[in-house]
Amino acid sequence: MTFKNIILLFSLTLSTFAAELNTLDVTPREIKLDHKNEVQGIVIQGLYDDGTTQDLESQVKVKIINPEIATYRAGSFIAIKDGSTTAQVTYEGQTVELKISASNTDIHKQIRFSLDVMPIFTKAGCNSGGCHGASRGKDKFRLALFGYDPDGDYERLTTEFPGRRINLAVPEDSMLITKSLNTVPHTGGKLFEKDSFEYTTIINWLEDGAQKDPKDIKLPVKLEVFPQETVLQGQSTQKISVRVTYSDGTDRDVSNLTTYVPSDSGVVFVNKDGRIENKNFGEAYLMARFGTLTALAKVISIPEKAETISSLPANNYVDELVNQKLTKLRIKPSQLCDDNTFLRRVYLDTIGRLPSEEEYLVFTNSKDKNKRDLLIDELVNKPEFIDLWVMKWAEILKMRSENNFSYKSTLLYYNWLRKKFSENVPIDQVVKEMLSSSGNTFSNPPTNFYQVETDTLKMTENIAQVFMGTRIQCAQCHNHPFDRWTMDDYYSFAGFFAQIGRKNVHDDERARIIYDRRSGGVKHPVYKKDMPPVFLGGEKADVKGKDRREVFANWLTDKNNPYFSRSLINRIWDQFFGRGITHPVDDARLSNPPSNKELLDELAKKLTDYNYDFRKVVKDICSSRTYQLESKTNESNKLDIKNFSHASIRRIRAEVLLDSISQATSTDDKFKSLPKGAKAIQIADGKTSTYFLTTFGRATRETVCSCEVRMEPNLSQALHLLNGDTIQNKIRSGRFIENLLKEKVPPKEILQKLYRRCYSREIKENELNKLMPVINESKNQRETLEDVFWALLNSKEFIFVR
Amino acid sequence: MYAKSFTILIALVCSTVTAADKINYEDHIKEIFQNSCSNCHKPSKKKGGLNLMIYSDVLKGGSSGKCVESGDADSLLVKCVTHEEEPIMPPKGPKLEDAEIDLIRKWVAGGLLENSKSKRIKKASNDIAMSMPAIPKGQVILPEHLSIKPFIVTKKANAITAMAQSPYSPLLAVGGYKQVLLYNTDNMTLSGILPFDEGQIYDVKFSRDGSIVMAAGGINGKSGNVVLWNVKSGKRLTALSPDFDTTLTADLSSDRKYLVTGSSDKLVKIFSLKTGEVLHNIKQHSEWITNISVSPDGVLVASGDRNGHIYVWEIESGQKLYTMMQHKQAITALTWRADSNLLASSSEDGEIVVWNIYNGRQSKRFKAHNGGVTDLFYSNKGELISTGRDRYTRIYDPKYKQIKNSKTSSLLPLKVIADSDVKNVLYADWQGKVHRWNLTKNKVDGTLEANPKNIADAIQSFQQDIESLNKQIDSDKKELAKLQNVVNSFDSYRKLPGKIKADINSNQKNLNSKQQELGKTKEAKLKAGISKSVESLKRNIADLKKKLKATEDDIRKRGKHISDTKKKISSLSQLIKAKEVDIKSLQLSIQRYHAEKINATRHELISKLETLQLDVDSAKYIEEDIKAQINSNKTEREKLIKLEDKIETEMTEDEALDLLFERHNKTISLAKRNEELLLEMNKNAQELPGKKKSLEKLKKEEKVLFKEYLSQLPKAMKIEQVKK
Repeated sequence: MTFKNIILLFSLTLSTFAAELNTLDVTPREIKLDHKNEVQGIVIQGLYDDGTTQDLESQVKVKIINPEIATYRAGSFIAIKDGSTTAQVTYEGQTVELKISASNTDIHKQIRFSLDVMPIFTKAGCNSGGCHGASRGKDKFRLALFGYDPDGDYERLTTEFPGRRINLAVPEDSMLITKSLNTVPHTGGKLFEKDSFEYTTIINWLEDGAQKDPKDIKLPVKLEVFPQETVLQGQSTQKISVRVTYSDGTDRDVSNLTTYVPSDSGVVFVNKDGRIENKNFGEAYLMARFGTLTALAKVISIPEKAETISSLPANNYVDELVNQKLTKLRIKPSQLCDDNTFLRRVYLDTIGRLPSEEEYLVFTNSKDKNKRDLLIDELVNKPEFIDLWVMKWAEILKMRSENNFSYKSTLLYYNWLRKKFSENVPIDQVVKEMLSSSGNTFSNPPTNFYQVETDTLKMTENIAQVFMGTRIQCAQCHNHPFDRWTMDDYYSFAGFFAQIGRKNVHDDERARIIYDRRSGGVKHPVYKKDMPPVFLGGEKADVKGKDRREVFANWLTDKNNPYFSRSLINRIWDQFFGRGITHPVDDARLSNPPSNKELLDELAKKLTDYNYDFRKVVKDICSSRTYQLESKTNESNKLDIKNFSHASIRRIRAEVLLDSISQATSTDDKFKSLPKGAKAIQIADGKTSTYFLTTFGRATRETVCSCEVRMEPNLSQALHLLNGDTIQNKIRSGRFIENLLKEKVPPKEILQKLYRRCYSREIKENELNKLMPVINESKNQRETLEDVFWALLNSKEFIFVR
Repeated sequence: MYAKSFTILIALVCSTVTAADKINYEDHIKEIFQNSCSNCHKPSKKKGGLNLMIYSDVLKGGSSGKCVESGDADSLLVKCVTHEEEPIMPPKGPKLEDAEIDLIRKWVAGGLLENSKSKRIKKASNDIAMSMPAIPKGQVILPEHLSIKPFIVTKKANAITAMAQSPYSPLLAVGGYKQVLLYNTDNMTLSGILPFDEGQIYDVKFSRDGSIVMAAGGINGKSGNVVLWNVKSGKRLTALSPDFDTTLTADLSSDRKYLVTGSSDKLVKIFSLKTGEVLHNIKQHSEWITNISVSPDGVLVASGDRNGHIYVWEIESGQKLYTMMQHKQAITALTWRADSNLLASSSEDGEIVVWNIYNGRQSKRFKAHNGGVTDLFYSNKGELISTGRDRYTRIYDPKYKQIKNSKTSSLLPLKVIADSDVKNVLYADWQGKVHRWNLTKNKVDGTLEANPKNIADAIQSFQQDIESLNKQIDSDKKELAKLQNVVNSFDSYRKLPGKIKADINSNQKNLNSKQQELGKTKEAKLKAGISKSVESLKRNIADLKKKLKATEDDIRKRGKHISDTKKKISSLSQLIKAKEVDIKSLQLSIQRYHAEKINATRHELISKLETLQLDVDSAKYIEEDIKAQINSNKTEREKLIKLEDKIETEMTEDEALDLLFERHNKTISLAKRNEELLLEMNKNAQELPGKKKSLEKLKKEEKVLFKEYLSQLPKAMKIEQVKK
């Protein structure tokens, strides 16, 4: 063995040694203890240079400078006496200092209904939707869902059925206790044990007389989860701690009163010891819920023997950010796809049709190193690009003729939008114009936005879903169970759209006048009064003397608005990858974070930097290496669908598929109210459809949901293609083969043409060898060739994008 | 064939052994079934036709046949709970604990015993109609010397959910925690406490003649019971267990033949009080039954539920008479007018509806309390009294016009009644207190507790009250003295004008005489001197007159103040007198409670006495039972011995030998068993005279205690029984 090899071997073995500790992290750093014996837990985590983390609680040394103030036991600080001190946590030469202050250590904490008893209901699941949180409760005992109504719950528990649910004479006999312990039959089962802390808390409150909370009781305002990020390698666990901060500045460790909801329970969960534990590999988020507050913690789980990924190739910032994520997850991306695959894919994704034979030959024969980027430039400037994108917008704007929305209105609306796109008007201006438009729906088509949906609350929900990418529907009746939206948020947001007036036009009953009424509001069902408009997730709006819709539109399209550009980026990304960075694209919520936040943020920023010219963003995406990866997977990325480490095989959507079949067979389609030869992607009205389109999942545009476009394959589709009349008739009536035969084109050439037309590639040697004999032997060459054509159109390679 | 007789034998043998821990249904198995099986296999549901809550039904089995065979540890029930066979039980919940399955196995193998001893005591007749002497209507019936020592003392009181008034006596029954409290509403003292071990009390009612008091309640979610007591003697007359959740409401008919109960299983149950059997199990209500009230004439019964529906039934036949749907929320009270022609109902929707019983239609409907009416009551005068969540108590005349309206001090009044003379209205609240609203004085003048203290603590608190009253009286007297001083000094001040007048008169006299003198005197020097005196006298008189006027004015001014002070003095004296009266009554109470200590001991003695009496009375039956067992064992043994001679020739030698051996062992154990039984019988016979002696001793002791108690009881508190 040469000297060089020995060095190589040595360095190799070195690199497989245990990773080095980068930082020792202890959270929280400031600990406030404010009553007798209060306990606050800490999380001690080591961050290693290979990106992994470890729970170091059992290995560190903890020293309290003044041990009279507080003591440290089993990962928590316990108050002893009033005063302040610091604690030092040391490990492997690193020290972290924590500030500890204790006050009121001679006073026992008084147990309060909303602060101490109600979180037990949430944690034990008493007030969940399947139990007493249901709208009718169970056996007429109802609690507010996840505890958004402490006063009501107090009344229902104490005075609604006097003497039964709580027993002040003998608290242990209260049904609240006997049912929870299952000492009397309880459909909900046993929820906690006798003498557990849940039991003692409730008994203490009852013994104290089951007092009502004082009117000015402090409210929980902030929830923090520690640690924020965990990367577990192999099978391991990590302690998790949750702290709530109240409106008076005090805080409390509520780890044992928190419910943890994993976004993917196959990857990670919180075990019965209250520790994060990983199962399969991947990334997941833990949503911690305490009372009505939620907070998020990120957990990545990587296999024991995952090799570190060294630098990955990148074309632009998109790749850099995707690679960052893949490196963290130890996932290797697939290889770059070949030219043929790229050509077909990019044509279908940008302009919704196949490349013609000529276009294919030009691209394949070009020797230009940048031919891919040049092709992208060319495609985004084609008129078909506009058709495809207007169709996508038409879907989410619900352009569909209905009883109260005439075809003429639909057409005018569609054409207006198309004109804007073709004039390259930036998308923020289009949206702003549409949202603040007033006037006659015929002469000022953007006003149709306010005609397709007339119910204020539904319109509010649609606007949030379409332009902000979030679904607030749940908050209409109660606080959103998985997101931060409360009923107050919902009704305050709806206030923006409560002053829209509609008048009839007396010479045409199909048209309407949309105008701003300058009065009116949305009543909150609990407070029974109008709510002043508050930007969703923002501050109160100044709407005095202004058109509220305008105020909203300005806020929405402002460069700093966090929702608008991200929602757009998601939809754009989804078009090219079959899956948004947040998935589904219009369901961004706390418990459904984006799979790559940095990528989403950067793309959104770029969109605003480009002044909302989304063609530029499309170019950035298509020219990235990530878009151009092949769909073949390797060992490390074969299970990944969220992190774009390989292309996914996607079924072509209905309109594009129909157009491609027509293009391949050289036939024309006739759609209602459109000239013959118009493309399916040019259909303005959601109501206009054909059997083919409906079977393949065309959106009906009855709602704004992104889920309306169905991309899943099913039996009807397969049967229609095989036995239905579309393909068969098109092949016949297009006469493509017939004409070629008339021109005495040899069968081999015809086959080559067919493969180029349908698959955008050359026919392979073995394919030729299999087909030619059949054709040569055939009595009716036209028929046989048409059969081959039929087979090609029915194949997966045609119907799916590779 | 032999196997069958063999198992029967084992079962017989096992069932006649009385070891201390024999596993039986009542003590061990019923609880397991109740906790894990009763959601489906209870009488009101009977899934698969199987009811596991009554022993005879367990033996009967379900629609697919028997579920247990005595001695067969592989019975269907056992296989189902061990998950060896389908359907696995419980189908949705967790599997039974291993210890519980083991108990069930042992119980089945041990012969499916019902309780820890075979039934030896014949049940005494339940016919309370027979056990009570006939009492004419309208008579005052009060408890006679019942113990007032509470059975349970809790730190706080729970909400009062049950209260009733005796129709002709000043007696109030309040549902405390596991005990019924009987209060005398005339002097606001405890008359007796009846134990209700069965659990919390949700309804309390007197019979229409006042001789019986009934309590319904139980353990929430687990069991429901109704108990009836004789008001005078406090003896338990009968007890029923109709439910598997608290019995929420019940009432008895005036002829004491029927008891009607209602609970969360939504069934109206009509029981015969003679036999304890269910006569009618009526399925009609769609929600929990909250109120049941029998009409005063005993013919009809009204039931109301949480959905606001009311039905009227004929008690004897169980037939539905009327459906009354008006209320939108839960019914809180049903009350009949004394002539049984009108039924009034109240509900959480805040309304009161009066129904005409001739046609079942509404006679009147009106809004009574915002937020809900919590209770309603027809007084003996035919006036309606209601209370509700708006904290008011209201009285309406027969034309439904509000004649009295009072805001209660309670946060939430729950129950309201008027006493039999309609002199007071009593209402009970969420904080466990009963307040007496004196209608003549129109103010609240008394409070009762739902969690009375035990005797020693009560005496202590009386003493503390006396101490504080004495302190108050002391300071009051000091204040009184001060005021009296003021009055006294004023009285003497009032004499001043008289003195001044006298002064003036004497000065005037002097003046007159001096003036006369002046007229008589001619000498100039003397004249001048006398003139001077005249002048000074005149000045004096003027001054005195001024003083007189000022004093009289002053007296007039202060007169009002003084009359006020006099009023204060008189009211303060009255207050002191009232406090002294209070002290006297507290002293009486202390004296009485000391006597009650003795009474409590006496009652403990009485219950020991009764158990012993029962023992002595049943001795005869036990003996007969044992004799029967001995005889049957003897016959079995003789049969076996005869069998030993006959062996089937189809068996092998070994099998035959085994069988012989087994039979032989059986005969020996039977003989042994009979010896044991004989010993037991003899022992019982020996013990009997001793027991009889102790019984007599206890009876004597009780008589002594009773005398002592009566002698210590203050005369003023001696309860007068029959008011003519």
